[in-house]
Amino acid sequence: MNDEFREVKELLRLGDNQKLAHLTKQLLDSRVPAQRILSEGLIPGMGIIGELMKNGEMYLPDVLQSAGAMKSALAILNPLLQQQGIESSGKIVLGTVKGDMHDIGKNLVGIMLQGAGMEVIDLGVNVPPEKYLEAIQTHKPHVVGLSALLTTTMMTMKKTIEVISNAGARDQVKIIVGGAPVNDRFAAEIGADAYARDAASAVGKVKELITNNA
Amino acid sequence: MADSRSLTPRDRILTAMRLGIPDRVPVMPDISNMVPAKLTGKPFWNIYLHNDPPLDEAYLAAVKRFGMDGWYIYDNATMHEAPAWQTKILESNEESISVERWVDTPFGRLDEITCYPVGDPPWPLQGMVKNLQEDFEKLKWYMSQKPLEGLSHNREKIGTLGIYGIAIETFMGFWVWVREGGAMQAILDFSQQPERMRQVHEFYCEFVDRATSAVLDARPDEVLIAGSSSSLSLSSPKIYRTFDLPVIKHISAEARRAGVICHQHTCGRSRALIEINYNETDVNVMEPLERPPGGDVDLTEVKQKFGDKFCLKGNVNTFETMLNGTVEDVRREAMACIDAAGKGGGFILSTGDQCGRDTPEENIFALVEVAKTYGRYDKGS
Repeated sequence: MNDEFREVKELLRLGDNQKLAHLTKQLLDSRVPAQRILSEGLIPGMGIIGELMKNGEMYLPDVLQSAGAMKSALAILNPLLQQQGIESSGKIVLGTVKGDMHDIGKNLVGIMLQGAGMEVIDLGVNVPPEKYLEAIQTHKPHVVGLSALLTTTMMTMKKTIEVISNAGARDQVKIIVGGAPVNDRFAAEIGADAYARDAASAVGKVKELITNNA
Repeated sequence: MADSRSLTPRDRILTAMRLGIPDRVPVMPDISNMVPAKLTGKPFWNIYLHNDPPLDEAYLAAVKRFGMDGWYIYDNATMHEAPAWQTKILESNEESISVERWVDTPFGRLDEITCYPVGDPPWPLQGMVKNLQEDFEKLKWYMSQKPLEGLSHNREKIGTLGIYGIAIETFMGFWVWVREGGAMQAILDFSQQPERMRQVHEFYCEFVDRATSAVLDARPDEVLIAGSSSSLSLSSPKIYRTFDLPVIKHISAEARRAGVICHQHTCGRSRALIEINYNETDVNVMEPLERPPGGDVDLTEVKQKFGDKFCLKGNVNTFETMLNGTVEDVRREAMACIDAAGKGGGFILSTGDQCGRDTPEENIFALVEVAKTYGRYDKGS
C-alpha cells in the first residue's frame, strides 16, 4: 500500500528537523489537513520509533533527535490544530517525586506520550505531593505519572497518592508509576492504577487507562 | 587447576581477573555508596560533605561486616580535585544541604551547586559547564593545572582486604559529570554542537593520556574505566565508537604495556559494548553485565563468547533480587550466576550497579555465603 506519509515517518526516524519542518509546510500547502499529518504521519512515526527502541534497534540519542524533529513539525501544526478545535488524545501530568532528581526516564516517557498525540505537563524533578495536587486541580489531566529511581524516594510515591486521596482528588485521575526500583507489586501496594516498565510500554498503559476511564 | 590455598581477598580477586582459578569465586557486591553510608547510622551529608566518616572508610567497614572481597575505587584521576575548590553552604534544612563550590580561573569563575540529601548520595543541582564556550575554557584551564600526583595515597587502606583501583572516566562519564543539565543535555550536545564537542573530545583525550601515565606510575592493582554514562541505556553505539572507544583503547593498551589490569564498568544495556571491547580493546574485566530488566546481558552467552579474554563480574539483579527478593531468591540467582560463568575461573560474583540503600542486609550476607560455599573450586563447582 502506498504510504502517503512515508517520508514524514522516515524524516522523523532520522531526526532531521529542518527537512521535516519543510515537508510539513509543503504538505499543508498541498492542502493536506494538519490533523492527518499528525494522526497518519507523526504519531504512527513515533510509534515505530517506540517499537525500535523497545527492540533495542534505536537508542536514546536518536530518540531525542527524533523528538526534536517532531517538535519542529508540531510547532507548525499546533496553531492550526488549535484553530480547528482539535484536542489531544489525552492529558498527562508527569514528574519525578520529591527527593529524587533523576529525569531521563521521565523525559523519555514524556517524549513518547507527546509522540502519541498526548498533552504532557512536565512538573520536573523533586516534585512535592502538593504540586501534583495543584497540577490536577489546574490542568485536569486524565493521568498522573510518578517517577522514582531511588529506593528511598519510591516511598514518596505512596505519600503523593495519599495527599491526592486526602484532598478528594483521587477519583479524578488515574495514576501510573515507573522507575528502576518499582514493580507491579509495589504499584498495587501503594494504590497506583498501573506500572510501566519502560517508556515504550508506558504509552500503551496510559492509553489503556484513558480508554478504560472514558 | 584450582588454587587450594586459602587466598587473601586481594590475591583471590587478582587470580580471577587474570583468568585463573582461585580457591573460590570472589564475591564483590557493588555496595560502593549507599549501603556503607547507611550503616554508619549518620545523615548522608555527614559522609559525603563532611567526611565524617569518609565514604571509603565506611565502605571498608562494610567489607569487614559482610566478609566480602573488597574493591577500593575511591580515587579517580578525572575527578581528582587539585587545586581544591572553595565552598559555601547556600541552604540547609532537615532534608538537605545545598553547597556551592567554585574555583577562580584566568577566564572567570567555574562553579557548581550540589545538593546533599539527608538520606541519599549527593546530586548536582547546577553543573560546571553551563555555557559550552565560556565555561569549557575555564574547565580546560583547571584540568590542565591538576598535578595528578599522589593518586595512590589511599592504597594502604584496603591492604589485602581487596584490590586497589584508580578510576578514569570515559568521555561520556566526564561530560555528563561536568555538564549543566546532566545526561540529557550532554547527549543533545552531540547533535546541537558537534564541532564544539569534537574540541572537547580532543582536549579530554589529551588529559586521559596524561592521567593514564600518572595512574599507571602509581601501580594500582587495576585501572578502572568508569563508564556508567557510556551505557547504551543512555548513549548509542555511534557515540561510544566515536567518543568513548578511543579513550578506552588508549587506557587499556597502556595498562597492558604496564602489566596492570584494566577493568571497565558500564551498567544498563551493555551487550553490544562488551563485543566491541572484546574485539577492539585490551580491557581485561567487564562488569556489571546487567541482565533484563535494566540491562541486556545473558551471562551464559557472554561467558561462552568472551570468557577467553574477559574476567566477568556480575550480575545478580540489584532491584528485583537484591532489593525486592528474598534470601532464597538471592541464593538461587547467585548459584545460577556461578553455574553460568564460574567454570574455569575468570569470574567474580557481584551485583548490578549499586545496591540500593534499603537492600536487606541478609540478602548481602546470603550472596557472600553462596560464593564461600557453592563457589568453592575445590568442590568441583
